[in-house]
Amino acid sequence: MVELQPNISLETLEELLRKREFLECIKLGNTMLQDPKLRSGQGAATDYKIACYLTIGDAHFGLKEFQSALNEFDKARSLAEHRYGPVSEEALKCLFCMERAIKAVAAMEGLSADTNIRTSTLLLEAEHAQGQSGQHPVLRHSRTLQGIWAVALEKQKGHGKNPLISLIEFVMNKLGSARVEEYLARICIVISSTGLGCLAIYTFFWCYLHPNPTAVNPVAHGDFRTINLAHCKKGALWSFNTIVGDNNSLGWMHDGRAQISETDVPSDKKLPVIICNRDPNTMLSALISSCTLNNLLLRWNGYALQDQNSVVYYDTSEPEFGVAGKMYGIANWAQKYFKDHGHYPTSSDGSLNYSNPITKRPDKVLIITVKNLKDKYLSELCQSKAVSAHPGMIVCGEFGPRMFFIGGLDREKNPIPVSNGHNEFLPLSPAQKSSAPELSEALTRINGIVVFEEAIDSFSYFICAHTMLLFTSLVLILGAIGPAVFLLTKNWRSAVRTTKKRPGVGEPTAR
Amino acid sequence: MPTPPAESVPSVLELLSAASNVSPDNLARLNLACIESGKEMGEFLYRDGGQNPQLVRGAIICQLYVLDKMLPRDEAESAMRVVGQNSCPIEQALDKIGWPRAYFENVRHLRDLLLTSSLINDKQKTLTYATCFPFQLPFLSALVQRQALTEETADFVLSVQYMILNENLPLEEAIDLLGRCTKPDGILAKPELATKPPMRQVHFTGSRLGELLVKSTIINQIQLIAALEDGRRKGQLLGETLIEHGSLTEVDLKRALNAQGRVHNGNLTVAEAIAKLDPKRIITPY
Repeated sequence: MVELQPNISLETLEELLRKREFLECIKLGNTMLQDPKLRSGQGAATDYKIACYLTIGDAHFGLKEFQSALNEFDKARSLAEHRYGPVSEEALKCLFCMERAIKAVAAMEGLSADTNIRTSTLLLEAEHAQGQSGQHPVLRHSRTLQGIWAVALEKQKGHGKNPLISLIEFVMNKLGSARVEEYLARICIVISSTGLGCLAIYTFFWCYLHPNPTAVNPVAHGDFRTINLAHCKKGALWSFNTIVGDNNSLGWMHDGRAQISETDVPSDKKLPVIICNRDPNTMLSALISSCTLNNLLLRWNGYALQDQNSVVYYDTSEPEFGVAGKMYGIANWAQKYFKDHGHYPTSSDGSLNYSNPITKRPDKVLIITVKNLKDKYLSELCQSKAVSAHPGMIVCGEFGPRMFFIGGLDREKNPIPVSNGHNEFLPLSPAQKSSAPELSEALTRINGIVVFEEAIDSFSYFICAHTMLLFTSLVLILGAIGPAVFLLTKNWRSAVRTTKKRPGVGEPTAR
Repeated sequence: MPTPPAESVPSVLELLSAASNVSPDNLARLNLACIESGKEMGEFLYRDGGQNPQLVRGAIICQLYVLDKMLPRDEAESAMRVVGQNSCPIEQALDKIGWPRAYFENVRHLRDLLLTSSLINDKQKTLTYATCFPFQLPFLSALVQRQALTEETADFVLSVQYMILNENLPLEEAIDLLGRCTKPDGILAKPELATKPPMRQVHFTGSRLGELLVKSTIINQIQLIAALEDGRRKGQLLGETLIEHGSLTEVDLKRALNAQGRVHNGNLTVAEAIAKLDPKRIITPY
């Protein structure tokens, strides 16, 4: 055993190392190495030198001087291999110190193997997510295992990869990240909430513009006009015709279905009918039906059926049909008058008499000169001219030589709708056909009928009137609530903060 | 030989998998188990996994060379495969795959000496690496050509290294000696040593062949340093290497050896020997 200076020993160096006085440790270690006894000695002196180099290396490591630490460990290894052999325990001990230093130097210079970085990152993520779950380590890091396996596979595949596959993998990786999940959830909430808001505004305005009509006369059970199928005989076809064009008809079949035809010849298209009364099941059926079918919603307004577009379907035996017939007769006469005279008839051209189908008395067609086209409502026009309205009255309006309007009143002195529900007049212009094709097109798109025997609330009627509305609303609500619950469950805000505070991340470590 | 690119240092596990074809699944498990154990991969595999120590040692030594940008990664993996097949030391495996280990070991040894004695700094080392490694040029002569080292110091470094390799000089004394050399700017490598007495006084005799050739201006100092460094790793004599480099003709070598012999026998002084050798026969350096 070589005797060293009394104040320097390996214990002293180790004590300094424990106290983290690294500079002092290095200085003292170098002094120790220059000791003549140690310098020239063999055998045990070499052991001292090896230990000394290792201690100095550790001190350099503590000072984050990894390259210097590596050099010291390398010297120790050379000595140990020379004395004990390359695979001796002493030499391997120095070698493992070198491994630690190599890893640190590589990390400092950014030359670490990608696999190690990814493994460490995945591990940290998995540990953070799982917390102190107490599971088996392999189970706890199951996600990490998958990640490492993917890295290993990637390594096997090499770099000659299809760029499309690389792009898909990149997108999938991005989609799997917590930040993208959170971003998508937020977008989903914003879009769904906006959709719901727009829907609410639309609902408000629709309900405002489509007030629920109240039945003037209560519906008597058994009345044929309330579609009581018990009274239908097999093969019977009861027609409810619209006024417009006098060629669209709605018929009820004995099997509970309905058919709409443009002419008097029935079409082959049979429509399912849901009769909605006080029974909740019928209401539910109507709501479910509105998810898939474009329904024609019919309500009884006291003396005729009215759909959601305010088109009125009169029974062919009703007197309003007679009024409408008179109106179309006047229209034909007015067109003929235009051909003869070059202008439509005016109030100065004499009076036109007709038999009122409602009052059953002779009546006179009133021709009023319209000065403003904004006077398009029949009731307002009558009021402006101080004309007293009566059932079955026919009023004509002339605006210049080339425009002519014909309007009629029903038994309740309400204007008979003659167009698509938004116009109370039958407008005439030179060489115009009297039919309204847009109504026919609307009817062809109908593939279901709901008849409301009882008055319902506006909101239910709104839902029934819009196909897919219920389903869309459900999707929007789920789209808003689902991601919100997801974000609350994940508690991503605190997760991000914790990630930032996680100790040791980004620092070069020996491990 | 092409310049080794600055590539990532492979992990011990990667090198071992190259040696023994470990499946990716097992690689992942091993990696995890190592992290769980809290040990370095090599240590874990040796102590807990009973791995062959030659393989573990080879992997770490390869890491060291790759980190020093001396060994390309693919060659490291090839060497590990050889170790895995033959269970031989990594040095033999590296020699077997044709990697110039002697050259790089010599460079590492010289580099450690020069860096520890503060004769060069890290930047100079890196720049000289870039010059030397592609064509395996002698490290010291490259440093002299870069004016990072004087010719005299380079010659002294070679002499000191020779003594260290022959175990005539401990490393600490060698560093003490080299730390007293001057840099090209005239400053001592380790100025704090100026006040201390040297650990050992080393005298080099002037009858050496190289000194004779340089003083008689047959070759210059750089040619001598390059030949010494190259000959040492190839195990050749100085004259042989000088002829191989094209710095010396056989005739001049015979004349120089004759003069050296006469100086050694005491028939001639060094000055007379130099005068006898023709000073105008300098051959253009290679």
